[in-house]
Amino acid sequence: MTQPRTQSYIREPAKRVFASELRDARYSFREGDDEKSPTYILLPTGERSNRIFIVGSLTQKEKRGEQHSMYLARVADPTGTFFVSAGSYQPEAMQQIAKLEPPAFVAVVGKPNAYETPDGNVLISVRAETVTAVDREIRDLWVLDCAEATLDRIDAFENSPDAEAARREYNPNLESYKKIVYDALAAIRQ
Amino acid sequence: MDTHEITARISQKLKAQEIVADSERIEAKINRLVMEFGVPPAEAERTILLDILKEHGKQMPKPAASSSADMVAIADIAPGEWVTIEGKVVSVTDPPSPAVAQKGVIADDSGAISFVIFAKGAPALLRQGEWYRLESAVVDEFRGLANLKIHSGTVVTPINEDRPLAPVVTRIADLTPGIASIRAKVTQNWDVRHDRMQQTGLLGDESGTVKFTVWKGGSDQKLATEQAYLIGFASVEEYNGRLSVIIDPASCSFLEDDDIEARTGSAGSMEEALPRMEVKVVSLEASASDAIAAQGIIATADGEYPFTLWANADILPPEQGLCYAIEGAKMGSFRGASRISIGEGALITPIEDRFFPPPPLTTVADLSPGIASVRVKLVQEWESRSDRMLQTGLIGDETGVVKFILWNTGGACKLEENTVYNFFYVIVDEYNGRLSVNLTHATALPEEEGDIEVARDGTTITGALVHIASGSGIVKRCPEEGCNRVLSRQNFCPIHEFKPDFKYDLRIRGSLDDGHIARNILIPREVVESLFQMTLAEAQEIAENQPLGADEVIRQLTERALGRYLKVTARQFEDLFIANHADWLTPDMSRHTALLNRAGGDF
Repeated sequence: MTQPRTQSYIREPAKRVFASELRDARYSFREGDDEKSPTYILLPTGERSNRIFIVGSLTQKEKRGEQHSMYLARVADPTGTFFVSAGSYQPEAMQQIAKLEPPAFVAVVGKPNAYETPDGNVLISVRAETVTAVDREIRDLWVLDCAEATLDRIDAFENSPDAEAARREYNPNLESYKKIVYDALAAIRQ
Repeated sequence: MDTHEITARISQKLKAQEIVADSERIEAKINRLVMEFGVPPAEAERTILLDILKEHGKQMPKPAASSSADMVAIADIAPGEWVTIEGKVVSVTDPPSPAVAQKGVIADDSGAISFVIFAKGAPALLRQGEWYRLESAVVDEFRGLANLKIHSGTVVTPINEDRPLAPVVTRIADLTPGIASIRAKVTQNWDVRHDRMQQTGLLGDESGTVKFTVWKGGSDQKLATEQAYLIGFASVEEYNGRLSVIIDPASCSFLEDDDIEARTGSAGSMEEALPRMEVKVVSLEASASDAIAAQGIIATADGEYPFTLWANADILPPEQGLCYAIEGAKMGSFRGASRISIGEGALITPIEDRFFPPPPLTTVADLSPGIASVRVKLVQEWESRSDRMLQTGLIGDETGVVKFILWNTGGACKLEENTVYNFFYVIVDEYNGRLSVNLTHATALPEEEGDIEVARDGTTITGALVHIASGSGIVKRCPEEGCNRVLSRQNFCPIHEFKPDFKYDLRIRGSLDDGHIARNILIPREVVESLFQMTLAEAQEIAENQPLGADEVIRQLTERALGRYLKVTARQFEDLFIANHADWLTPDMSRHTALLNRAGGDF
């Protein structure tokens, strides 16, 4: 994946990850000391993610605040729930969520963020960049895509540059993530 | 999913808030969320409860710290509850990550449950063999199993209890996911395929058999074959419809004078039994191992599949080109692809020759993993890096090019330049999102004449359109010969200044992202028109007559394109991919099957 030198900015790819894998993630790190260096959430299957792409069902939304309002939303995939937020820095995503009436299939591109809850859990929420209403067919496509990406990560685990950190932070049982993939695929079987 | 059960739980929780539940309406909501929107039942339950509470101006009740009167038996607790229990810690395991302080199993006379203590704000750790009273622990669900979360608000009190706890033994046939104790013996030891695994194999008792696994990190002990054990508080997991038991050898005790009449036999294979079917052997290759008598490709009425004839079937290998009826075969998977397995107990009978049409010709752009036929020519030959490889490089047709491999098996011939080949029964593999075609066992028919204009510069890329950049939609271009620059809103060209006689154009600039790389993509007018069934004239009509003007065009395109999957044939200029052709991707059931096999395989 060589990029021409002229390109100063390489867009971070949007990783495909199921809700239950993202829920297990809790380790975040920054590459480089630069203020602008991106922050990554380490996925338990051994890859970093600065951006993710998810498709699921918007089950709930809640508006917070008056002047600097933001929306919190729950988006469910076959394996669990993503916590999605959109504030005034993401006006388009916020307007989309405001417009949508749950339940509705949505495609969300956003940045995963880790924060700690009062009882010591680490929660990953997704700060949405864009939110679009989609249909079930796109959801099914995403489940296939995400299943494949997860299996690829599991297969390539030993060769991943992030494997060492993943082993240290999560010591993941890769078979259980295979099971998650299997269950997600089984859930969309017509 | 049990709709009635969920409805009952919701109704009960509503009743506690003095709300009369409308069961029919709740059930309709559950069905809508779960069936129509694919929401997991637990999330649906939570959503519906919260929605109804909100309708009545109430909030989700915060579970109050329970008093001793609320103490429950471990067997009776269900996810979502705050509970108080008393039990004995029967095992503790190494925390799987720094965020977790301790994991283990706690049991009482009724049963056992896994517990977890998170590092942050953790109360004191529990000691194995001790009894504790846990107030206000949270029962949640972790990978489908109830799990007891001991958090900073949980009151942990050691209790002075010193009685032995007799595990409730469950027969293997009666196992369900969770924690269980089993009386069984090891009937089979299997090869360990994972470096964290210490031992794996099959356990049996009078009622059946189940797979077991011992992970490294505990004691170094192994379970002895043919020895009867009492296996206390093992965790039973379900995967792909089959159960398996995770064992800590430290919690196993010999049953000295006890023998178990263990059942033998296979561990409920995940292979799916196939009915009698008539097939034609399309290709056959020499076996690579003693366990395999033959392998190759067979055509069936439902399509073509790779097959393996196992040596233990004790059947003479079929001949290439002949037809057979096969009974007792199974559909399994190997390296991600569906594969027919012919093993012990199967029967192969020759039948009269009959015609199985080969897979229809597919364009290179439309290839997907499986078995296919293509009409292509050699585009580029690469140096092969191994003696086993006869030839490798690129083949292509009018729609694109794809990597091919020809293994050195004696039968295959090299591809020649400038010849059009029809290949039937090629095996299409996928790795890291890239396809390659194995021609080794394909039937090759070179054409005497005929040529293909190979789309050499067309790279096929797929991905989700995750970003639509500014400058998309309807734009105005400078009409000067050879300029064609996009004008500003005020019709200003950076070279030719104001140009009120501009030309309209339609395009999308954005990022097509396959999860590994986000590529800059430009979808020009013709492709936008065919993708969206919106002509430039229609876009112009919208731009000129609607209050939002050009913004309305981009709004409509964004609504229909963002977050969708596209398959694009494109030419590349530096880091920009310009689409020659684009299609919306649709779900492909054979991909679904292959992925299911891949996720279920090897387990």
